[in-house]
Amino acid sequence: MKPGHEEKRATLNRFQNIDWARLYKVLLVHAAATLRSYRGADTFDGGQDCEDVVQEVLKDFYRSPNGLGWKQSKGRLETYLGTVVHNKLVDRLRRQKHVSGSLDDPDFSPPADNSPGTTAPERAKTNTKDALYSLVKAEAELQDLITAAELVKGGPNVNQELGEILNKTPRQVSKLKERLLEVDGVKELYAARQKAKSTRPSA
Amino acid sequence: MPRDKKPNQPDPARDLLDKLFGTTDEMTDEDLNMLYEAIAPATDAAAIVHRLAADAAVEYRLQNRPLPDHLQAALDATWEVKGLDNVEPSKLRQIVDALTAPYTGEVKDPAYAYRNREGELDRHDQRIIDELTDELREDWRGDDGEGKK
Repeated sequence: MKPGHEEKRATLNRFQNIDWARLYKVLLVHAAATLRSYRGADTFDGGQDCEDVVQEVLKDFYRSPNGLGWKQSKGRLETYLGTVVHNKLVDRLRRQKHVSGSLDDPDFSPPADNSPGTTAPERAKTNTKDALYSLVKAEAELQDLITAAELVKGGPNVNQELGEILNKTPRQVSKLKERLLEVDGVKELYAARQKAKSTRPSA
Repeated sequence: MPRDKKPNQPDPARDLLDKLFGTTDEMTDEDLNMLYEAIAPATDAAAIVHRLAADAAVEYRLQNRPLPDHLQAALDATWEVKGLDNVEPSKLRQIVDALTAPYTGEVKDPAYAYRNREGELDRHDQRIIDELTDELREDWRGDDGEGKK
C-alpha cells in the first residue's frame, strides 16, 4: 500500500459519514437561535437572513480546498461551522445596525414591544415569553408546556425532562411541540422572522 | 463610566424557545425536521446542499483543479438517485447501510437506550434501569402467580 494511502482513506471516510442534509438543517436551526438571542421577535426577516448566511458558509466551505481548515481534532463539523455561521450572522447584524441604529437602542423594536432601558437580548427574552403566552391564548396544555420549559434545567434529553414535569411521555411532549408550532405566529417567532402580513407601520 | 455589560452580547441564560426545543446537539431528528420546516418551509435541504456543492465543483473544474474530498463526498451523498441501473457499487452499499444501520436517535423503548452510548451512566440512565428492573420483577411475579394456579 502506498505511503499515506491509509491516511487518505481515513480522510475520505470522515467526510463520507457526514449527513449533509442534516448538517444544513442543524446550521439553520442554530442560526435561528443565534438570531433570536440578539433580536426580539418580529423585528426583521430573520428566516431569509438565516438561510442566506448558512448557504454562504457552506459555499465557502466547499470552495475552500481544506474545508475552512476543519479537522476531526477540532471537534464536530456542525459545531465548527456553527461558529462560523454565528460570527457571520453577528457581523451581518452589526452592518444592519449601522444602517438602522444600535441593537441596544430602546427605540429599535416596534413601539408596542418596547421596554425602555433594556438591552436587545433582555427584550428578546421577555418578548419571546410574553409572545408565546399570548399566541397560545386559552390552550391550557400548551400554556403548561411553556411553563414547563421555564423549569427545564438543560439536560441531555429535553423531551424527557419536559415529560417528567408534565407527566407525559417524550413522544407526547414531541406531539405537543408540534401542536405549538402549528399555532399561528409561533413558527415566525421561532424563526425570528416577520409574519407574512406584517402589522408594523410603514415608514 | 464603564458599562457593566458589553453591548450586543447575547444573554448567557438560554432563550425560552431553546429550553423548549433544546439545542441542536440534543435534538432528535424528528424535532430537528419539525423546526427546519418552521424556518424554511417546503425546502429540500439535500437539494440545496447539492446545488451549493455543484456550483463549487464547477469552479474547481474551470480551474482544472481536482475536487477536494469534502466536496466530492457532499456531491456523492446528495446526488439524487433516479434509478439503480447505473449506480456505483459504493453508492449501493451506502443505501443498504442506511437501511440496515441501527437507529441512533431517541428511542421509545428504554431497553434500546444504551446503543452507541459512551461514557458513564447518569441519573437518567439509572432511572431507566430501575424502571426495567421493576418491570422484570412484576413479570416474574406474574409468572409465579400463574404457576401456582
